[in-house]
Amino acid sequence: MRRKFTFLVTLWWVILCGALGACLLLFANPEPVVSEQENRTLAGMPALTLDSLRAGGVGESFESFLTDKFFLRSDIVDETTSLKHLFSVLTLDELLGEEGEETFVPTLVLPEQEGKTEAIQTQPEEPADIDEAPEQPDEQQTALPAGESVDVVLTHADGTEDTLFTYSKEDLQTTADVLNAYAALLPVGGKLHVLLAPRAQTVNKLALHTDTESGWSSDVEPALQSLVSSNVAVHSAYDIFRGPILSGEYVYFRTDHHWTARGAYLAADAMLKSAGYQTIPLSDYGETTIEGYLGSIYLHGRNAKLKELADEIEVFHPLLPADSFRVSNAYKKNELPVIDESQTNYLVFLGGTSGPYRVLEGGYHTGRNMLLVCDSFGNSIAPFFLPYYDEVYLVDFRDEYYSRDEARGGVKDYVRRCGIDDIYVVLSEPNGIGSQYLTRLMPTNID
Amino acid sequence: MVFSSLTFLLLFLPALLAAYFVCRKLWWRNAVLLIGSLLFYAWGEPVFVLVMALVSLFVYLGTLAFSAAKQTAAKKALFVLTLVLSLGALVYFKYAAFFVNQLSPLFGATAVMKTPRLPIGISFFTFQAVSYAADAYRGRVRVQRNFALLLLYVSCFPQLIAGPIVQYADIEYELTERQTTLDDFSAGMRRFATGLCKKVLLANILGEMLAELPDAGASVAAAWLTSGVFALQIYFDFSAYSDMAIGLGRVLGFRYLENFNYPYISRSVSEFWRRWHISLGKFFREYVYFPLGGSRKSRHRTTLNLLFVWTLTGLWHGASWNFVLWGLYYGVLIALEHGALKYAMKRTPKAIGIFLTLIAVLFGWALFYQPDLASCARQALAMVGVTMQGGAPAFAALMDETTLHALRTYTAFPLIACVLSLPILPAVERKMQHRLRLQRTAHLFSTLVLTLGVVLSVMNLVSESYNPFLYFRF
Repeated sequence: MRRKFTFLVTLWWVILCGALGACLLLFANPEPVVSEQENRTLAGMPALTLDSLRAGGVGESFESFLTDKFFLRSDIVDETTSLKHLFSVLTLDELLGEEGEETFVPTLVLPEQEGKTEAIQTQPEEPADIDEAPEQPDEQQTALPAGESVDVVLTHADGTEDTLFTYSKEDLQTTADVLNAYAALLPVGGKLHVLLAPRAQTVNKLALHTDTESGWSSDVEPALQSLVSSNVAVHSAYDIFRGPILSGEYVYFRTDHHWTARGAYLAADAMLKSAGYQTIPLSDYGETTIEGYLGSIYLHGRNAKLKELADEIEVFHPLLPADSFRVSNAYKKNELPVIDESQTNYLVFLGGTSGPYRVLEGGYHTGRNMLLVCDSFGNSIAPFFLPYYDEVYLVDFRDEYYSRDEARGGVKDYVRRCGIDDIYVVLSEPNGIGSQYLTRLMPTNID
Repeated sequence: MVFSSLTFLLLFLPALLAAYFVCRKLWWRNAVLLIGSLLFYAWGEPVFVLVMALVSLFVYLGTLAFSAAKQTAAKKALFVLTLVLSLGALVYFKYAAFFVNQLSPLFGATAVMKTPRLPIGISFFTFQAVSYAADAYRGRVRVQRNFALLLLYVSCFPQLIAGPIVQYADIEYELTERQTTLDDFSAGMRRFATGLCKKVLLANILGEMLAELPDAGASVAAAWLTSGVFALQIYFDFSAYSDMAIGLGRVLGFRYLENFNYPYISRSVSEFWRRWHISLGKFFREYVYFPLGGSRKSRHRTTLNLLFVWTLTGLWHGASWNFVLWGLYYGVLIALEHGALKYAMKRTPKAIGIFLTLIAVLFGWALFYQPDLASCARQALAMVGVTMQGGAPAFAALMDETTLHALRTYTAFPLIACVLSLPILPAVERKMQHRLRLQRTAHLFSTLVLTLGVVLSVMNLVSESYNPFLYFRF
């Protein structure tokens, strides 16, 4: 009896497996599709031709197809990761401090749009006056504090401190060299603003613990300021956010490494005010909210514990003088909306990053253009610059988005052709100091 | 194709079993098995099916030729030719680039030979073919005159890619006379399911943990944990494959020999190798060590034989100095155990013996795991608390943040793996089987656990991507 039972259980399993496999082959969608939840493209059925079989690799592609298109895959992935995390002793704080995954931007297949393709070369060249070089820092000015390194420090309520980051003089000098190179591209009177934004993993050490932490301070910005040209203004994100965070403003996501649109506004506001602009209050913007957002930090480990900290995305709609508000690549106008309402994650801002150069055309006539050198933090801050500039150009030098071939021109040419008056460098702190990414910004991509 | 893949579990295996058991005659079953095995191999490596077929053909023709030879010298010459031809592919794909690149500077050459893509499982199927040729030469088995049956022996999919290395003598009879009972089917599938759970639920997750650990030289904890986690990962990965192979073999009517027997409870390094990858040890013992004279000659000769065999064992795992040193390391340890330490070993308490063996094995895994000698030296030094700072030795940190984070992330998995690497479950099962009242409970319980394990494994496979076995690269 027991032998028969065991045999039947085994046989049932084999039949179930076979039936599942057959159903997958018959009913699974053979096309690749973008999974917003998983932040990637799910594999499609590979072509089973003689050539592809001979070349090898079909086995792995087919396996990807089966796993990606498995019935109830999303639920299974969530349940599996939740189960795995039962065996872990990581606390919520540790999970919030984990590396995030950059939001995936699916490759856009855009139809050829006759008449909408506009080469940047067709824009009138406005020679910029760059003969008068801004004042470079001298040796006296570049002295760093003793020990030749600077810290970012978290202050506890009891007065004790913890060092969050330490940067060496070499790291700062590399950043300063990049900034000075950009500053040198500007015409007379042009200003370069720099803001190195901490990631949520850092900010939430204060924001989620205002009962035990009292604030933070950073020596990075003063030290960097001493190393850069006179037309460069270094802004401290730590100073900008300290007050709002302590008063409970929602300036950074919890499950995503970015700032919220509110945080981006505060950063833009501080930079614009320092440049002498009278800024528009946030309350003047139209607002919508997306609930239940689980961002990059959640996606990294998919730990179910983080679901209870799901974020909401506040979206502030640009103030439009006209209803044709578009994001364009430098070479093709691709009709991407500034606020992509089809998205329910950070991609809502500019639809994510796409292409080497982008431009936001505000429809205003201020007579000034700006260039935003940024990573993904730039996507949410860029719309807030629109009322103050005719055109907001964006460059994102990260490997995924920028290649020399695709860009077909260095930043130097770009700045001259587009008549850039001011440059804003808005990078997440790990991208801005001591990173490989900085080498992408210098020097060959500028010339 | 990989056993722990949806392609295999949901498509290949059900289809093959259906086709296999629909056939009533063994001839047809063998045909289904041969075609299935070739498809199984071709799915990942279509071109290399030819390599496997050629190796089988050389052995087939060679054995026919030397068995027909009348004179001993001719027979011997043909046997040597068969060995050279059948080992040729292995030497070319696995070792040629290594030896050429090591030797060419000695002759002033600067050209570098690129390592060709390695056919999966070439070391396994070549050794099976060679063992058949050697056994046929020695008259231990009858010469197989049916090429399809010989090809089936070499390519039979359960053990094709990562062993166990099945000797022809062990399945000679089953190739032409075998049957599967209900018990065989159930027990085989249960064994397969056990292997699947070990691979997917333990080895793969331990692999994830290993990937999160920092450079093994980062701290003492990082160094020991790297070795420890790798020791568990490779054990559960490789023994899982053997479980699956043995289980599938049984479903198809073959009885393969065991390949692992709880190696981490060994009291000596020699015992460890009698419990770890048993079929490889048996191969080298029977086809290399004994023909060299084994331990029947002088003490020095025995030591030389051991060192030679263990260097070959290291090289079998891969063409790099790490593997050579890894083999030699075990050769030296085993030579010491057989020589100078023989009497000390006998008097060592069991627990101390196990502890010392474990330490020796963990140092061995450092050699095996690290990609180059420099990283290996860094790990070995960190294991004894030393790190090199600017060329000068210094005390290594006891713990580092990345290691601590990995430990906190995967806390329970290494512990569960440690427990399961000991023969505790079989002992409990045996005890329950001895009591009639508990037999039924034990059976039901194990069925439930396995069912749950398979569900979790499939869930994990759906969540993961391609997860080949570690021993595929050999």
